[in-house]
Amino acid sequence: MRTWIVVVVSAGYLALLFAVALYGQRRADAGRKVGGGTIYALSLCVYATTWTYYGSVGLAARSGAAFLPIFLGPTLMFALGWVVLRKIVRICRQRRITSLADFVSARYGNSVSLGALVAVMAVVGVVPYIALQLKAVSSTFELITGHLAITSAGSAGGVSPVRDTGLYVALVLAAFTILFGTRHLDVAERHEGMILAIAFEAVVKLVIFLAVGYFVVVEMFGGFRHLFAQAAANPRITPLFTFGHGEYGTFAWLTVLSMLAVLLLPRQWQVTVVENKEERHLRRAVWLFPLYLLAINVFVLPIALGGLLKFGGASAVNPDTYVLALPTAAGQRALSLAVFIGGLSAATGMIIVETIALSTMVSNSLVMPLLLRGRSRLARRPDLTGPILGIRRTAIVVIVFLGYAYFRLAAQGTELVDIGLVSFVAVAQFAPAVLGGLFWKGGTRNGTFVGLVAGFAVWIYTLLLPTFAHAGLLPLSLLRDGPFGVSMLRPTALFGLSGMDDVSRAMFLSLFFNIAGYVAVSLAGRLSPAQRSEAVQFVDVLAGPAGEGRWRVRASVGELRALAERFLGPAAVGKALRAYYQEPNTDISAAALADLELVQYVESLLAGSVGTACARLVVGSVVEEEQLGPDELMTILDEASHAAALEERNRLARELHDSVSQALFSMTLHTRALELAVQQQDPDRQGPDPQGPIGRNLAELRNLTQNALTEMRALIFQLRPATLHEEGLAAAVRQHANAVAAKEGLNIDVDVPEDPLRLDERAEQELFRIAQEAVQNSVKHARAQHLSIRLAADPEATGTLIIEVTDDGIGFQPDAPRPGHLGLDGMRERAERLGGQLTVDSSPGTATTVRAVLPGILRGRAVTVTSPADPGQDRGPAARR
Amino acid sequence: MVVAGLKRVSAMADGQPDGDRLGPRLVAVAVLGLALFAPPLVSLFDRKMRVLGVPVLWVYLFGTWALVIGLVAVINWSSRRARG
Repeated sequence: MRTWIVVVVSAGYLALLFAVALYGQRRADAGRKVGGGTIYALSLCVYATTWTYYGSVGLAARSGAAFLPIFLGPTLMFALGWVVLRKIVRICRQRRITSLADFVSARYGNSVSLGALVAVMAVVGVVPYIALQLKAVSSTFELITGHLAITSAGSAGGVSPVRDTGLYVALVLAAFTILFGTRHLDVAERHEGMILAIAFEAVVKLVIFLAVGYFVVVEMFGGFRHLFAQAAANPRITPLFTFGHGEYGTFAWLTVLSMLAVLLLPRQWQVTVVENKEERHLRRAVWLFPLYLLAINVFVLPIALGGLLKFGGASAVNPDTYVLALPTAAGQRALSLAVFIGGLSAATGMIIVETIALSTMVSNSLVMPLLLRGRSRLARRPDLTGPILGIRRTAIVVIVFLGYAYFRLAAQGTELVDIGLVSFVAVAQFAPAVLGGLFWKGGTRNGTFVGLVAGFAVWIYTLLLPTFAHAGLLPLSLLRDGPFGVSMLRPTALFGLSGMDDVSRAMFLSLFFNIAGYVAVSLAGRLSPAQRSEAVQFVDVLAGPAGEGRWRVRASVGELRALAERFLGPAAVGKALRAYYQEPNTDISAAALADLELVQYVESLLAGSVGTACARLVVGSVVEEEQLGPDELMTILDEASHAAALEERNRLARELHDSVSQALFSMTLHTRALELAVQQQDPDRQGPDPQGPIGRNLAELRNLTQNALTEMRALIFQLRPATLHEEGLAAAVRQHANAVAAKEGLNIDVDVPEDPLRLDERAEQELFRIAQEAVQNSVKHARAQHLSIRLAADPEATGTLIIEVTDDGIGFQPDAPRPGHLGLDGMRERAERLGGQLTVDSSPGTATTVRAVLPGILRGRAVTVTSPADPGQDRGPAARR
Repeated sequence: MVVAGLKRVSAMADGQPDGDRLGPRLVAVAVLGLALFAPPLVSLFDRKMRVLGVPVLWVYLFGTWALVIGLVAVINWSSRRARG
């Protein structure tokens, strides 16, 4: 067939695909519905690439049923879909996760390095798969245009790149993908137009494949019965009807492998998870997608048998091209052209979705973190969409050309399916991290990292290196004798494992080390609280309500903050929000629109203080029933929960004080009385006998009781540091100073800021104890007459708080060991717990100054109130890190 | 008002609780499928016999495949109908 006809028809078909995509995008942009469950299910059929279209027939012609596991696996995985896939879909929807790399990173403590690792692994792992598509399209193109004799398809190795069809295929498809997927940015990374085109493409390739199957079976061989009868009569073909020796194992391994691949291939993740608009669409996909795969496979064996019967032995025509070669040989020019278009369609769909998914991953998880981390000017640009699109387009071109390079260098003499399986094993490495992360709460970031690296290394060594060696890029002796002649390390028989086929062995070994690393390192390490909370949210996601991220938010950050502050107090909320934004000094614009994640984050914050149910009620009931007077409801809930908590603490403190404390106090009195009575009953002795058994035990008892009383008082204070809790540190310190001054008849100057300091509650308690202890020391040990307490923000260091207690007492030697005097050590420990330092400036006979300096403890607006220093003005986001 | 701007967008998936029977039933089908495609059962049909001209192994594999898909579809439909 003339080249120009093929080129024109191909271009026409691609233009048609583009028109479908454009139509879909326009519709979506206009806010109209683009496709439901059926379109969704059909878009998943991007799973069927030229591997299915050409490669399955090739494999069937060589080893019979061995091609089937690749399609049985997805059937089984989608039966699990309502449990497994829905979980992933919901997590990604709720957290706006847009790629596999994002998912793994988010699951294990938002680790940037994990995300980057996954992105790199995905790109490297999928490169052979892209090479497969280029190979299939270029070799069938040469076949149909007659540049290649029908008998020796796929040997472009000697052709210079300029004359190589593969290069032009790569160029066209890269350009097409850029047109398709990166015209503009979408927050959800959804491509409705593309999905519509992919669904359309899925129908095209199925119809053409069924047509060619029908033609071969009915027109060429007179029906199934005749075809099978002819095949059964041929002793070279009959082995295909049964399994050969050792093929059971491969069959089982590949079934499991493709179960994982259908979930973890970047393009499948894109269409199944990212492009999912409603969870219920999964319900149709769980049977329609497998049904599609069944349909497209029905004619695989018949076509393979037809090819074998028509062309004879395996050497004559490459079985990978039977689908095209049969109608061509029968003189069916139109059908041949259609077959080529079907193959082109399958390859195009795969390359578009795969490279878009990978480019999102590369840009979001690899390039952007690096750029934003460094002090590049890019990070300060107000609008990053331009650079992001540029990065994605570059990534698409690079990925397609990596595929082309692999095709030229390493994939020339290999069968299509074998190339694809290399990629399958690569993406299967994500299984422990993803599936483990979905169902096991114990996985840690380090464990995931070690597992992924180990599995990937084994994959490179046992699968990728051999393809390079076979292609002549590495010495073949590496495969034959092992590196440095160590035969135990031969890539194709690593550790002497030789009883399996290459793919099964590589899969077993890589996943073995992957899972072992993941589990062992996870179990050996410790889960940080942040990771544990992620784990719970991922594993238990189906326990919560579903839906489009639950809330559409029109609340501003400020409003949301105010809502949370009502429950949690300004200090705690400020701290939590800064933790959320991960930038210690960000001034979050109160007017900015809160995103979905922030709402959920606030909800989870509230859940921590008022319980999950209550937190949801606060947001939920109000939102659902706006007209019922949200204000009132809010107020009621607000006051009720706050008052209830306070009331409970106060009640407990009161009761402890009234009952246990009083009892302990009586006990000390009674013990003392008893001690005296014992001494009086023993008139022979003069004075108390502390050495006698009764006296000693009584003294011990009195000690214990007194200690218990002291502890109980401290506990009660913790339960009810009334002033501290209600009015803040400054007020509590002032009040305490006044009380001490009145009681001891001292003169105490108190210099504390008028405005409440923004501190979290724990810090307030610790700081109060430091001040309290310092005052007590001055009164008890230094016998001071005049004290001054100062509490102020450091004007030179933003966020630093200074507490200073100075007295005019007798002073002491700060360095001298003072056994039994734990007061000073206790203060020092408290200061250090808050990340600060305590210094004591004193010597015998002089005044004493105890100073605690606590950097970074003051936060929020109060900083600007107490200190003229402006927190981080004129600093770009990069500088804040 | 703080929360007046929040809008409920969609209720729970399909308006049904997540603890329904659909998940476990489909998982059971998947496990059944895995067993049916496991070597011990497949080997039962790994013979030279033919059914209507088609090798029995292929009949078994495609038949089982269709059965699994059919079960998944039927379970889906019945649970949808049950919800009314």
